Amino acid sequence: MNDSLEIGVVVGGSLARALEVRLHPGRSAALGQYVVAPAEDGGQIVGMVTDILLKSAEAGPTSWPPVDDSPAGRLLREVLLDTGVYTAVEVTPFLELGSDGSTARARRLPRHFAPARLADQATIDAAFATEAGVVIGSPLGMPHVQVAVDIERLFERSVGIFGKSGTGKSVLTLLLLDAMLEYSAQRPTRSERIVALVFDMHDDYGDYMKFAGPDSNRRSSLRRLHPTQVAVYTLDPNATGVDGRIVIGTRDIEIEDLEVLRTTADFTGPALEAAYDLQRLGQDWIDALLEDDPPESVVRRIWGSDPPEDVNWGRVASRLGIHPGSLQNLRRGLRRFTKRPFVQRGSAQISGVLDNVVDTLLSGRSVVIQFGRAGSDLTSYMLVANMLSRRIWDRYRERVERALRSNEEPPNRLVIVIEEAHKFVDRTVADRSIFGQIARELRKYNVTLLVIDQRPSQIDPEVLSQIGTKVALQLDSEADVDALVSGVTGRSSLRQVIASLESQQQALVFGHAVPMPVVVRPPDFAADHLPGGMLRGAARSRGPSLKDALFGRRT
Amino acid sequence: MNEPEPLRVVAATLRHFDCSYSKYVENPVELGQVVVVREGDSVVYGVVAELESGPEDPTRPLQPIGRAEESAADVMRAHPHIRQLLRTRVRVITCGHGEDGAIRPYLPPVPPPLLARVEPASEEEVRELVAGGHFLAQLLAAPDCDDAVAGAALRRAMRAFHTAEQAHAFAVEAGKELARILRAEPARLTTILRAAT
Repeated sequence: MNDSLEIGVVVGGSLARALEVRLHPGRSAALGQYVVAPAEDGGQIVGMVTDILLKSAEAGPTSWPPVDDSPAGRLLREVLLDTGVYTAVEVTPFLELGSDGSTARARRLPRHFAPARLADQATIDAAFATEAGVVIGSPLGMPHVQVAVDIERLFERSVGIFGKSGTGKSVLTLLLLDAMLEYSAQRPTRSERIVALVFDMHDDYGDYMKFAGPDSNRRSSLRRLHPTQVAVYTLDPNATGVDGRIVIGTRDIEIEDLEVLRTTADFTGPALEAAYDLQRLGQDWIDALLEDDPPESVVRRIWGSDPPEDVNWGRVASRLGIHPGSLQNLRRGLRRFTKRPFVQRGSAQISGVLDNVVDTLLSGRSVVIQFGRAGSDLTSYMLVANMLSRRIWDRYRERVERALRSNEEPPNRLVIVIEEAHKFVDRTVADRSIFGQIARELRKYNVTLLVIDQRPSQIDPEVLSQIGTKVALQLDSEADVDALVSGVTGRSSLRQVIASLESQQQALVFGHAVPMPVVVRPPDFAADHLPGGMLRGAARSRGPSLKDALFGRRT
Repeated sequence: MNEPEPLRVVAATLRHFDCSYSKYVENPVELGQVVVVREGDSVVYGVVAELESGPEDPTRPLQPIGRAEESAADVMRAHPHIRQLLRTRVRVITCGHGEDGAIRPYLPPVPPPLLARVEPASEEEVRELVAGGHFLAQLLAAPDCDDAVAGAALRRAMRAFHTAEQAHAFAVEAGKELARILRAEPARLTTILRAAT
């Protein structure tokens, strides 16, 4: 580490806010770069540059700035730079690296005039690296340094990837899943494996991902990279080369499935309340509501053998104590989405498909559910993702509880990947959505989430707070930035960092899986990307031992 | 070729020394020039801060003799004895001394000896004395040093460098030292740097 670049010296600061490092003449530092300085009694303090300050030693130079372009003016400017005026950086201290290689949250500070250096690979390795590291990129301004995070820890709790459209959320998700699958394939026991259930809105995670590259407009996706580990299901009735089709029967739809469609399918609250009453009409109650007039079975069930002469839905509503408008709202909504090609009347034996999906997941293979043309329809996406996830989660929960009771091997871990997450877990439906429940239960039932979203501010704050590791790409709205960093230590600094992210190829990673926030340039998704290419072992060989690199060889 | 008129120390303290030629000279050492006294226990370096020419006896002022069409040189040639009755005096601010083969930009342990010869320092000596601009601290601490002296000292020191790039690099380095010394007096800094360029 002594070879790393010394950029300045510590001249002040506080543990609660940040260290101030005055830069040496000619040195510079960029937001997001890691800086390391010796702690007072051994060890190293690692922090991130969270602000850059232009300061003046005295008021004079800034009150009377040398602006003329004469030789004397030019000389004066040169003279005053780094003397009368200078550049300093604020470094938020996050981590303390002990001389024995241990890491802990920073509770001490370097002394005045301690040399501050840009962190090198050895320092970053000591802070982040593990045997099962997945490379998430290079810190900004440090292209030769790679940051790896513990893949176990990453998927131990839910993960969120947030950014506005076009910032690279999908590519980053794919690279993480690719690393996870490769890692999982190398695990010797079932319970050590991690599988994914991907609700693939835009058909990116099956065979190919759409990719705007100079060489090609697509990249190999999960099934091409891991042919034996990924099964693809689809909602598209015309799709070929898939492992199964998802068809939903109206009899399979439960009211809980409709609850999350409240906003996207325009169901009103009273209409959903009415649905509970209408369940009394039997298991085909949805099919019945789709008819223009109440069918015979409904009439008999409500009025018995003595129905009135002019039976219509209005009379049915009155008889059941439902507001006619609510019934109409419910019928309109149901009609709209039962027109989808993957919805059929009656039973579609969804439990059989579910069994297949669950068996596939439990066997250690991941499942990608593609939506085809239905992917552009948010209602379809939400209905299917919610229906399947709720039922799969129930089965996982049963398996885990059974394993606990009978001392069996628990099922492998499952990561459910959903896009447009804020629609599933906004404030109005978070308490009813299965995804809200999964996030809140943490890893209790071996199921976690990987949510991909543009609008974190729309996500229920309680759910958002349960997302362990957050990856923030560029966000437009201040509300979104605020929502992400709410409750996080050093949030004002992180806020600044997120606000400064560029529209592509820059991400801030913070939370459970990383010991300190890190701004990275994610790895490129190359045309010749190999399976698990971001896994540490595959990415590169290890350098000198961490302790030797950090503290020098013992003589 | 005539030997140059010797300049000798006539009064000395640790912080400055006064020197005098034995007569009036038209081409004495110059303002801001680095001079050296090589006699005594240590070699003493200083910067010329003041030059004064006048009668040997200050109570007997020089009369403006000479015809209207005569130049000063004509008058001196016509009255060679006058030169002997006049003196050119120089005040030098001590800025460094030689110790163990190196030039240190700090006060010497003792003043230079009286009547010791004072001569211009070589370019190499000047470069060594002014390196880093640390000599400026001694110079600016002297009551006799005003902004013009400091500016002249910098300008003269720049001449000791062989290339414009080296001279500029020195000016920037010395200027930064000056900026540190005069951190509360930006106007003085500006004046001195303007005088130096």
